[in-house]
Amino acid sequence: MDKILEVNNLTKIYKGINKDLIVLDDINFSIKAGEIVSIVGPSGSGKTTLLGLCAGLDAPSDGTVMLTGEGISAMSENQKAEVRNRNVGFIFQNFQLLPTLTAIENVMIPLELQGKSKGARDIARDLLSRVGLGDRLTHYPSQLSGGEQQRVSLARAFSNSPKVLFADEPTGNLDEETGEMVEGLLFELNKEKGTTLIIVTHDLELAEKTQRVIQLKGGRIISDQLN
Amino acid sequence: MQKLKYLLLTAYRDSRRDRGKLALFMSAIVLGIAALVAINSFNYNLVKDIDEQSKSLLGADIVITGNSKVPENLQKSLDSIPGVKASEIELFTMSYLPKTDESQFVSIKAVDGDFPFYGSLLTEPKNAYRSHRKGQFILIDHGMMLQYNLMVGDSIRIGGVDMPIGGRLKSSFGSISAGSSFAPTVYITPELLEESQLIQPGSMVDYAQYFKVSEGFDPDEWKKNKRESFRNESLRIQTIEDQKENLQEAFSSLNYFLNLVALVSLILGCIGVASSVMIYLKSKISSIAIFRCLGMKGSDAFLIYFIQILGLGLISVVIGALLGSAVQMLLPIILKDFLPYEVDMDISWRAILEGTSIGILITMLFALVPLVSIRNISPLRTLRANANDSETGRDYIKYGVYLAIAMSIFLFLLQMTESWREAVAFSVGLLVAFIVLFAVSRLITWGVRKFFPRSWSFVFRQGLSNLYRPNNQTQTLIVSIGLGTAILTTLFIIQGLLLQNVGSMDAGNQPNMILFGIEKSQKDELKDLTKEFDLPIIQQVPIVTMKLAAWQGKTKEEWFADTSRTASRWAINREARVSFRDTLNADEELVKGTFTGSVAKGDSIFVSLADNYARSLDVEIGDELIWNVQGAMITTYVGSIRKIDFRSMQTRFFILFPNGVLENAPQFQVLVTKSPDTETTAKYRSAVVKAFPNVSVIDLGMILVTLNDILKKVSYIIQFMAGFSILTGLIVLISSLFLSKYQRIRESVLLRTIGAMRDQILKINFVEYFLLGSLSALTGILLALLGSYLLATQQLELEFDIRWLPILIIFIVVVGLTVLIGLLNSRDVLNKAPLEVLRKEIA
Repeated sequence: MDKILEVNNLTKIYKGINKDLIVLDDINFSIKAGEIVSIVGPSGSGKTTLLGLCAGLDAPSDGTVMLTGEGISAMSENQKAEVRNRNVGFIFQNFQLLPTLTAIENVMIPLELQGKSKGARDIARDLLSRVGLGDRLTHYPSQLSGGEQQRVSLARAFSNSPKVLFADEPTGNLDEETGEMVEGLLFELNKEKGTTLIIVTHDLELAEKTQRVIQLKGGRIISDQLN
Repeated sequence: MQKLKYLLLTAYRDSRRDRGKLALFMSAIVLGIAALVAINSFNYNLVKDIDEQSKSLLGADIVITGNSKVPENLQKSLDSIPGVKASEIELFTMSYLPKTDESQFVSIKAVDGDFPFYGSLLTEPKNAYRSHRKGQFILIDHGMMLQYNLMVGDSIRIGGVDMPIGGRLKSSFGSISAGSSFAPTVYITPELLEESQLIQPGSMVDYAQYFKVSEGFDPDEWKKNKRESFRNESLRIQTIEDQKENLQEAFSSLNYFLNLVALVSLILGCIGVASSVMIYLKSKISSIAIFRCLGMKGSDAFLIYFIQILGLGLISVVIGALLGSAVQMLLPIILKDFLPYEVDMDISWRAILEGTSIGILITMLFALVPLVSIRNISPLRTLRANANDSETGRDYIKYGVYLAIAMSIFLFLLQMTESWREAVAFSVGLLVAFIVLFAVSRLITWGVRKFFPRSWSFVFRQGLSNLYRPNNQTQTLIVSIGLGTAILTTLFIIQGLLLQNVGSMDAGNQPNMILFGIEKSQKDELKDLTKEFDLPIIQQVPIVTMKLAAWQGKTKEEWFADTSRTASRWAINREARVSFRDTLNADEELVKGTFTGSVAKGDSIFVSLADNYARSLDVEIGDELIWNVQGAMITTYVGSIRKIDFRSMQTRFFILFPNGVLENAPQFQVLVTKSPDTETTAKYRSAVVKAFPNVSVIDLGMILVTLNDILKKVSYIIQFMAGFSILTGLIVLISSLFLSKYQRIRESVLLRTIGAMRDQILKINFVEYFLLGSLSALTGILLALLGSYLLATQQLELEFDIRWLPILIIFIVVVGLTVLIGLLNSRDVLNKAPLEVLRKEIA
């Protein structure tokens, strides 16, 4: 399979009282397996909406999204959930760890959702050690710093060996030093696992480190070029 | 299996750090179930004991009672019952206590034979009952002996005969009413009764015959065959089966009230459940969005929280059942004065099983209301906290849950009231309350937005606008607080009405003493004695006893043979106590015909009937009535029909003759007066009893004191049981307001961040919670007024008269607590740095 993500005529419109708001307008692009792509653009350009639609978190008003060869736009919520669990990993700006679960339990979730409880603990422990948190396995998110939380989030994102990893401003809530460390880990793990990485960011320095940059403005792609 | 294991594990893990948040949920269930189990356990134990103790309470297999002697033909049939027989004469009369120079109205019982056949009469000394029947001494109620400091060996005078006391009576047969406390029982021998010559025309005498039947004889079968002929002579047959039914009936109103309390607690508990689960899930939305984002199906996310709630629900139900079982042990102590025997309190497994199953069913149904929304929580919330959840058109599952809730409440009500009509009425009432509160909340949001006072101060505008802005809590709080207030207020109003209706009997210038059994010759002397004591003669009326012999052209016997007869048996059979006078009293109102005050010799006699008596006899104006006045037949016609106000303390007559007919018939007199104080009452009573031993004085004041005592105890029980409802109501209030914490905290923190002063935040919150609290309480109280009016007039037949002070107190308490808890909710915002709060509450 060559193309892992294919977006055709994607449009998202929010119904307003007086006027409809077009957030994404006829977006077309595709991403090959193993590619590292960044989506950049000013606030309100539609980056996060595009990420949500590509990952099957939201439904488009028009157009289609093919993720790992499956047309997710027409799928039910449960079918999309299954695709996400099998093929997709996420990293969020605000980490989105489950506050009631320990670090290791957070990392185990995607595997357990696949019914792979056996061995999940070992995989999670290895990944947490890989991101330098081997001694914080049973800590709750509230007992971890922001950088540590994002590293747990990284470990979780890779735990189910996803084909595509979506990252929404992964360093946006971190200081420069911690941000760089997380970036380093993200690229390292991605290289190791051969995952397709799609990053939404404001950070042009981070975008420069990716292979391809898609630039959005006013809900349209204004450039799509290789670095 | 693997999936279930995973769901259970995740449910456990997810709940680990948050179980404290479900404390409110658990408390609501615990209290609701505790009330239900306590009340049901008590009821079941009572019924079980009624079954077990009916035999010893009745004392015989068959009991025949009536206020006249059994006619010869029926006595023959009684004499043919195989087994042992005993008889008793019961008489209400005055007794004089020479030791203290006081008098007391008593119930005298003279037993001939070996009664009781089952159970025993508790006396002190123990064998006093057996020995009293051999000798010439009497047994007196323990309470009366204590009251007048009487000792064994002292004497009391009854009907002019001094009778020595041989023992104290610690229990009596058939005394399940509180009546015994103002007419204590005195056992005397038949010989003493005859000597006292108390049985005279006008005496209140009851005759009883007791039978212990031989093996193989079926008392109920015998009763079935004989009932008709005994009823025709106003004689009552009672068997052990009847005794069971009577006892159950005697406790039915107590059961009704207790069930009402259980229902209120359960419904309040359910509101508490729904709002506390809603609070819990609000704190879980981001976790659910993450689960969904990571690939969890909506139904699995729902199941995780369903399992958590079910698990904690089960634990709470068990705790509630344990607490309820413990509380039921207290009930017999509180109710001991109302029970004819000591109720053994065993653990009632039936009540526990019913309570837990009803509890878990209703709890889960109410919890499902917020739980089903989990399925629609969008994974997009991980990217945008304010993302809209997926709307898939009409959510039929939600409608199904609402329907199931309505059905289960209806079935619960049906089981409780055992009446379709009442169950429908209560269910419709609850539904209407819910709809009205919902409509009021909508009206408020619309009204505030439409007529917003733009020129008012910032603080007030901010607080007011919180009522309609996005994420407003107007609907949730008005419905939950309003419904809670409505239910509790209804309970209080009904309690107040129950107490007030009886209390009013003692109000104003009502007479408080009735003298009866006065012979015609004693009339003037007694009048003089009364005047000597400066007491007013409010009424002095003659009474003639008679029986109906024929009406509308047919004799009583012909009517009984007629299957088309519509007249009630009681109206035909009663020994009528008739008076005669030429005017109507103030408490009487003419509704039909013309009242005839006097009649000349030879003219037609027009009598006046009470409306309910005329209805029961099914007669109209002009119908002929023939009376048997102690052997003489008198033909009369219905001349008028009167309505009588039964709440006034006066003698009332179903049948009133005009002057000029009964003057020379055998008669006795009744005198009604009012004593200013208990001292005068005591002196007057003693003087009357000394001078006229046959005259009985009933001190209504004393009866009212006794009734008040009983009411105080009833009120205590009501308050004890309503305590459950109040506690559950408080939980509803707290959980409803905790709901609002999540709505307002972000705004308050932001206002703090941009420089709002502590006072300003406090005032904004105060305005919002004050408005919400007062509008909810007001709507709830208005609903309660309507509900209790319907309940009082349609169900309990009470006069509806509201005391506003307690309602004002309820209003102030609800508003005060709403404001207090609302402000406590924002204390974090006020006392801590904004960032700290933001991190903790929002991150």
